[in-house]
Amino acid sequence: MLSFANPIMKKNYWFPLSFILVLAVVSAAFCFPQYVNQGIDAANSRLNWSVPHLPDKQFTLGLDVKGGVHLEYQADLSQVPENDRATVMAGVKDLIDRRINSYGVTEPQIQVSGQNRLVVELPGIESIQQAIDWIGATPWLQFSEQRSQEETDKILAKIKEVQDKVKEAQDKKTDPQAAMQSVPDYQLALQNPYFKDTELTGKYLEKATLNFDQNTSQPIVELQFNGDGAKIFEQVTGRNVDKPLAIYLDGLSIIDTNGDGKIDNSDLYAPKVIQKISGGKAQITGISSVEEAKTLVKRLNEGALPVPLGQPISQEKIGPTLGAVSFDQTVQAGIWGFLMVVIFMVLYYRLSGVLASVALALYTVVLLAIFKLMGVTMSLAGIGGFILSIGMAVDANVLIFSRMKEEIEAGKSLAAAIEEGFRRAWPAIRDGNFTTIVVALILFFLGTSFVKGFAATLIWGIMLSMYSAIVVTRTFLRVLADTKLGKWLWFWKPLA
Amino acid sequence: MTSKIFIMIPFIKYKNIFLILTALAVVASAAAIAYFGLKPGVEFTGGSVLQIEYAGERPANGVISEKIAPLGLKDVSLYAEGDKSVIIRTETLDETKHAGLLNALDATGQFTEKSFETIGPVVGKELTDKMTVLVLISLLAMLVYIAVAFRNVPGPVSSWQYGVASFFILSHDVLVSLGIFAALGALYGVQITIPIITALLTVVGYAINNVIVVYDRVRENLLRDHKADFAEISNRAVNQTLSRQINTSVATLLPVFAIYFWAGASLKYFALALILGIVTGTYSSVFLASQLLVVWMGWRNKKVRK
Repeated sequence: MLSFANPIMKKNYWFPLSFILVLAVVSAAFCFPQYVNQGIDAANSRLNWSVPHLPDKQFTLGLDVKGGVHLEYQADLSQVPENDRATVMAGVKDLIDRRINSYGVTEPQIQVSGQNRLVVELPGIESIQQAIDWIGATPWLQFSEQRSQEETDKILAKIKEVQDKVKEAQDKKTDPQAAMQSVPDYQLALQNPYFKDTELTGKYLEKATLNFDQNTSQPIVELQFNGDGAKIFEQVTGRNVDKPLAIYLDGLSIIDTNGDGKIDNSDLYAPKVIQKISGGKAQITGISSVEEAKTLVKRLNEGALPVPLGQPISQEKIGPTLGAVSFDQTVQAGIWGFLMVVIFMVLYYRLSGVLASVALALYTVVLLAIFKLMGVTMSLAGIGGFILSIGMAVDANVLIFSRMKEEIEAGKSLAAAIEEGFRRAWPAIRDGNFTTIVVALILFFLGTSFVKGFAATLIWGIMLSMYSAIVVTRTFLRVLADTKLGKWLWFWKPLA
Repeated sequence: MTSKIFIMIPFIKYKNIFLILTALAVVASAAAIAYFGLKPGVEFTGGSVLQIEYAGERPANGVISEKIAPLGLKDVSLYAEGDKSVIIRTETLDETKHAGLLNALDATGQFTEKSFETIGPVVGKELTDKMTVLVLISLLAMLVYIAVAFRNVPGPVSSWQYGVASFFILSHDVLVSLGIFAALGALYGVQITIPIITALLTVVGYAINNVIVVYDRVRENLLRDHKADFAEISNRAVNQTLSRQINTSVATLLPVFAIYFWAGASLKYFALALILGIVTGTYSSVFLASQLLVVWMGWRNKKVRK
C-alpha cells in the first residue's frame, strides 16, 4: 500500500485526489446520464465530433416501487425421483418463462427457490386472476400432422371471409364479434390452417434425451414413447411418411424457429417423417445447435412429465400508485436524512465535518452508480438500507475525529494527529464494519425479497463507507492540513 | 497524559445501579412479551391482507364489516390507514374468495385496490423457524467474532468472556426492543413483521459496533498500561468513547427518524425498530458492556480467593 505519510512524498496528493475526483465524476455521469448526453450532443453538433452517448441504464426498481404481482408456487414433485428434481424445476421455470413472454410482460422475474418453489414477479400487471390461470395450467404437448391441401384452402378461405366481415363491421362501427359469429362455421377460421392435432400427445411420451451422432457428432434428440404411445406413433408416422410432424407446447411452436427471440404463430417446428417408425423409439436429427437440442429436450420432457403448479401458496399485489407514492416519500426521507447528517457533522466537527460531508456526498453518488451498474434492486427496503447506511457511513469519520481530538489535546501537530487518529481508529472500524457485514450476509441468504433488497444495499453501503472514510476523508484532511488552514487548530477541533 | 483536566464520569463505580436498571428493563420486557405476546404478521401466521383506498370518504368500519360478514371469512380485522384507506386482514384467501371480497366491498363505496397479499400457512411456519434460527445464528456469530478478534487481549479477562458478554448485551438489546413491540402490539395492534425482524437483526450487526468500540479501547488501554486496575481501565475506556457513542448514534438516528417521519407507511415500524435498537444499543455500550466484564471478573476473583 502506498503511504503518503512519508515526509519526502508529503506534498504528493495528486494521485489519490485525482482518483477520488475521477471516480466521483464518472459515478455522477452514470447516475444522471441524461445531462451528460445533452452535453455530448451539444459538443458533437458544435465541434463535429461523434462522441458516443453514455448508456442510459435505469435503476432496477423493486416490485413494491413499480407495482405488480408477486406469486410463489410450490410444485408437487412427489412423483419425481430425487435426482431429477432440479432438472424438472428448471423445466417448469422455462415453461413459465415461455408463457409469461407470450403474455407480453416487461421484465418478468422467474426464479426457482429452494427445492420445489417457483417465484414469479410480474411488474405492471393489474389482474392477478389471469396470471394465475396462465401459470397454473398443466403444460400441453401436442404432435400435429399436415392438413390436406383441400382442408388448408377451406380454412384459409374461411379466415378471409371472417376477416372481411370483421373489417366491414369495424368500418360500420358495429360489433365485430357479432359479425364474426354471423359467418357460418366461423369456428373453422380459428383453427390452424396448416396442421391438425393427432392423437399423439405428451401423455404418450415417456422421455426425451440428448445424444450425439457418433459419426458427425451432430446433436440428436431421442424420443422414447410408452406402450400405447409406440402404437400411436407407428400409426401417425405410417400415414405421414415424407411429411412434417409439427410439435406444439401450450399451443405454440415448441421452440423459437425464426430466431426473433419470441415464440408466436410465425414459428413452426416440424421435423419430417422419413419412414414409419415402430417400437416406440425415434430420433430427431439435423438440429442446428446443441443449445437448440437442449431446449427441445427440456420442453419435450415438460410435456412428458407435466408438473402442474396449481394455486400459488403466496401472492402479493401492489398497486402502481401505492408504489409511486411510497417511492417519492422514501426518496424524500433520504434527502432529509442526508441533510440532517450533514448539518450535524458540520456543526459538531467544524472543518473536519465539512470534509466528512463532502466525502458523504461523494459516497452517495458512487453508491448510486454502483446500484445502477450492478443492477441492485431498489425496493423500498433497499432504499431504507441505503438511507441507514448514510448514517452508518459517518461512523468511521466520527471514530477518527474523536481520536484526532485526543491526539491534538495531547499536544501533537495536526498532521501527526491525523495519521495517529486513523491508525488508532482502524481496529474498531474494521471489526465494527466486518461484524455488520456478517449479519447482512446472514440476512441476504435468508432470501425473502424484503430482506434481500435491504441486505444487498447495506453490504454495498458498508464496503463503500470504509473507502469513503479511509481514502476520501483522509486525503481531504491531509491536503487541507497542509495548507494555511492547518494552522488554525480551532477549525479542526470538534465541539466537545 | 492529557494536558487538560479530563472529567471522568464514574460509570463503573455505579455499575450496580446500571445493572439493576438493566435487569429491571429485561424483566419488564420479558413480562410484556409473556403477558401481551408478540403479534406475528401474516407472513408468519399465513393469511391475507387487502388494502383499499376509497375515492371519497371512508365508510365506518362497522359498515364495511356488515357488508363482508355474509362471506363468512375467518379472522377478519379492519384497520384505518391515512384518510381514505382501509386495511383488511383475513384468513388465507384464494383468488375466488379474493374476488368475492372485492365484490362485497363494492357496496361500501367506490375504491381502488392498492395492495393485496396472501401467504399460505406452510410458508408462514417455515419463515418463523427460519427467522428464529437466523436471530440465534447472528448472535452466536457475533460471540465467535469477538472471541476471535480479541484473542490477543492481555489482562485479567479472557477473549471468550468479551464474546459472551457481547452475546448478553446484544440479546438484551433485542429483548428490550421486542418487549416494547409487545406493548405496542397490545396498545396499537402493531405486528411483528419481516421488516421488524430485519431491523432487529440489523441492530445486532450495528450495536456490536458500539460494543467493539468500548472493548477495543479497553484492549488498547490494557496494552498501554499494564499495572492499572481493570475497573479503572474500563471506566477510562467508557469515558474516552462516550462522545463517539453519542455522536454516531445521533448521526445514524437522524436518517432513521427521516425514514420514520417521511418514508412510506411500509417502512414506519421498520424505522421504529431501528430507533429502539440503536437507542438500547447505545445505552448498553455505555452502561452495560464494561460493567458486565468488571462484575464477572470480580466474581471469578472471589472464587479464586476462596
